[in-house]
Amino acid sequence: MKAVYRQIGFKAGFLAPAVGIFVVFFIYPILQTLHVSLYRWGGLSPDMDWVGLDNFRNLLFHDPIFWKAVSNNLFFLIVFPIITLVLSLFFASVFARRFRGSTLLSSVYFFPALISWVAISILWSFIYHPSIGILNSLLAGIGLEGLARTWLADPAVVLGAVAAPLIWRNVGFYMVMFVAAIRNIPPEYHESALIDGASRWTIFRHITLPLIWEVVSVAVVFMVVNAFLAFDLVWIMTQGGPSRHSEILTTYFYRKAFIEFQMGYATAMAVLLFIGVLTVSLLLRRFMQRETVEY
Amino acid sequence: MKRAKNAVVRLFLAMAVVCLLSAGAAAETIELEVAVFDGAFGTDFFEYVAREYEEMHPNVEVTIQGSPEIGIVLRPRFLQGNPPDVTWLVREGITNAELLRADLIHPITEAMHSPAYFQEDKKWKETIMPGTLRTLTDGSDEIWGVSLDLLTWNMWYNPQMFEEYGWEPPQTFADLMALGDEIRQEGIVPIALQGQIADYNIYWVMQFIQRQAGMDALNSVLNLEEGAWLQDGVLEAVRKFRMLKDEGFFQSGAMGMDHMEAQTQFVMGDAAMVANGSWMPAEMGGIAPDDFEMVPFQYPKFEDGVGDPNALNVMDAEKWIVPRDADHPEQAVDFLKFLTSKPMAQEFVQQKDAMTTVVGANVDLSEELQIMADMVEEADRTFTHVPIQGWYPEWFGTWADNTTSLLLGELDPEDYVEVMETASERTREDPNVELFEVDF
Repeated sequence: MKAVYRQIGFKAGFLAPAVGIFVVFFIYPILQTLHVSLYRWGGLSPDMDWVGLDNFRNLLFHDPIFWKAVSNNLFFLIVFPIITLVLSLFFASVFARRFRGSTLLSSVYFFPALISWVAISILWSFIYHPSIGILNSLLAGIGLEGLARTWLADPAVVLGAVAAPLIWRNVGFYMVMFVAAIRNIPPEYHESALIDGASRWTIFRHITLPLIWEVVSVAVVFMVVNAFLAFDLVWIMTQGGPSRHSEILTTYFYRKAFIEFQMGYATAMAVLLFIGVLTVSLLLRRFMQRETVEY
Repeated sequence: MKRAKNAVVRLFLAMAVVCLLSAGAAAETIELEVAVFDGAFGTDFFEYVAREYEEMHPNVEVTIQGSPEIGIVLRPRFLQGNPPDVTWLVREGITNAELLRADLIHPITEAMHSPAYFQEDKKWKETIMPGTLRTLTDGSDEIWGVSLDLLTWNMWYNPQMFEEYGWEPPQTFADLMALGDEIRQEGIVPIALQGQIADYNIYWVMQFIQRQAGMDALNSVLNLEEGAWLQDGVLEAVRKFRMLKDEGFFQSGAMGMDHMEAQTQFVMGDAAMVANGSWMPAEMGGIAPDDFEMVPFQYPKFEDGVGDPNALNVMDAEKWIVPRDADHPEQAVDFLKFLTSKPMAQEFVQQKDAMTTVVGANVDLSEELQIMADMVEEADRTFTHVPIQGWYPEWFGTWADNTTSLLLGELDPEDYVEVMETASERTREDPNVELFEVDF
C-alpha cells in the first residue's frame, strides 16, 4: 500500500509543475475573464460595477458591430480553411513525389511561414498600396487597369484582400505537414493502384486522403482557430476599416478594451469568442472523425 | 591614556551625530517620479527641467521615466494604486479622460490660484491660455491638468509650387473650389487626404460645421443635442466637405492611405495642399527633400456661412497630470507649475521648436510656427475634439466610421446627418454614459 502511495506521490511530483503552470496561466485567467465579463469596468481602478448578464445581452441583441464582426469572422472561417486546405493538399501531393528541385520548391512555398505576421502585414500593405503597390501596377501592366482599386479601403474587396496573406502564409505550413504524412504511406499502395490503372485523382481520393485523414482533421481545427483569432494581420493592415468593413471579433475586442476602455464588455466578447472557437472545434473534430486507417 | 580614550569616544560621538544628521537629511529628500511620453520631443528637455527644479529645491530628486508606450507601461501601476507623481500620457494605453472617469486624478485647482513661478504678481492660472485648461474636464469647476505644448490643426501649402504656377492660398471656399480645379488641370492633386486616419477626416467636418453653421451649431453637435445634426447649416457643411471628394480634389486611393503616405504625396510635390497639425514640419522633416518648404494657412472662410472666419482647431495636446495616488501630490503639482513657468516654456520653445500654451512664451519661433502662433493670436475662438473623444469614445468611433463612409460614397450627406443624429440620440439616452457640456 505504501508503495502505491509512494508511486502516486512520485508521479504527482512530476506532474505538479506542469499542472501548476496550467492552472496559473490558463485556468485562472479563464475564470477571471468569466468574472470580469459580469461587470462594467474601465480597467484602471479596482472599482467594478456588477451588471450581471447585461454585457452579453447588449452584445447579442443591441450591437450591430458585433454581428458585423461575427459575419466577417464567418467569411474567414469558410474561405480561409477551404482555400488553404485545397492548395496545401494540392502542393503536398505534388511535392510528396520526390523529383529534381522538389525540396527547393517546397522550401520556397514554406518560406512565408517563417515570416512574422507583422512583417507580412506590412509587406502586403505595400502590395496593395493604391499608388506604389505592385498589384495595381501588375494589373495595369497586363491591360486590366479597370480592376485596379484601393484594395484595403474598398468595402467590396477588403475582406478578401486581408484573407489573401492569411492563406499565403499558411499554405506552405500545412503543405509541409501533409507532405510528411503522405510520405509515411507505404509506397506499395500507390504502386499497386497505379498498376491497376487508377488515375492520379482516384489514388488521391481513395488512398492518400483516407490514409492522412487524421492529420487533415487536426489541420482543419488549427485553421479554424487561426481564422477566429487572426488579429495582427487585420489590425496592422486596416484596423478593422474602412468603416468596420473588415472588423473581426479580435479587433473589435481590442477596440472595446483598449480604445474605448469597456473592459467588462470586451471581456464578455472574449467569453463568447472562446465558446465559439470551442464549439466549432469540437463539432469539426466530431464531424471529421473517421475510423483510423492503419497501415 | 584616559585622554586618548576620551578623544576616541568624542570622535565616535561626532561620527554618530554626522551619520544621524545625514540620515535625517536623506529621509527628508523627496523623490519625485515623472513619467513622460518619449516621442517627438524626446526626454532631454524634461531632464533639463528636472535639474533646474532640483537646483531650486535641493530636497527634491526628480527622476524622468520616458517610454514611447508610456500608457501601456503605466497601466498596471495605476491598477495597483502605485502611479508615478506626474504623468504625461500620449497615445494608447491610458487616456486622461479614462483616468478622470475612474476618479484617479488629483485636482490642481487650488494651486492654479496661487502665484506663478517667476511672475509672483500673477496667478498660475493667468499664465496659461485659458481655453486649454478646460479641455480635460468632468463638467465641474475643477482643473485637472495643464498642457505645455500647443498644437493647432490647419492647412498647409507648398509655396514653391504655388509660386511656380502663380497660385495663392485660398481665402474662401469659392477660392478653394476654383483653385482646386486649376491645380487638377495641371495634373497635380489639390489636397492630400489622410483618409485611413478617420479622426483626421472628422477635423475637416468640425471646421466645416463651424465655418458654415457657426460655433453654437458645432457646440450643439458636440453636446449631442437633439436635432443638432439636422440643422440646415450642418447639412450644408457636410455637403461642402463631400464636394471636395466628388470634385476629385483628393488623391486617388486616399482612403487607403494613412497620414505618412498621404503627407508624403504632399512633400514629394504630388499634392499641392494638405491639412495637418502644427507638428507637420517635425513629422515630415526626415522625408521631405532638403529644399522643400511648407507654409501653414487657415481653413478658408465660407462666404455663405455664419461661422467665425478665424476660429481655429486647437488640438490641445494631452495634459500633464498628477495621479490621485501619487506619493507626493503637493510637490508634484509644484513641479507642474515650474514646468509651465514662462522661462521653462520659453526654453521649451527654443529647444524643441514648438509652440506652448504658456502666455507670452511663444517668442523667436521659426517662420512656420510664427504663422501658426499668429493664427492662435487672431482666433477669437478655438475648439477641439479632445474632451469629446474622451467622454464618448464609442460615439466618436461611430462618427469616424460614418465620415469614412461619407468619403467612400456609402453615405450621402443627407444619410450622414441622419445616422449621426441617431448615433447622438443613442449615446444621449444610454444610461451608462454620463453627459458633459462644451462651450467653445
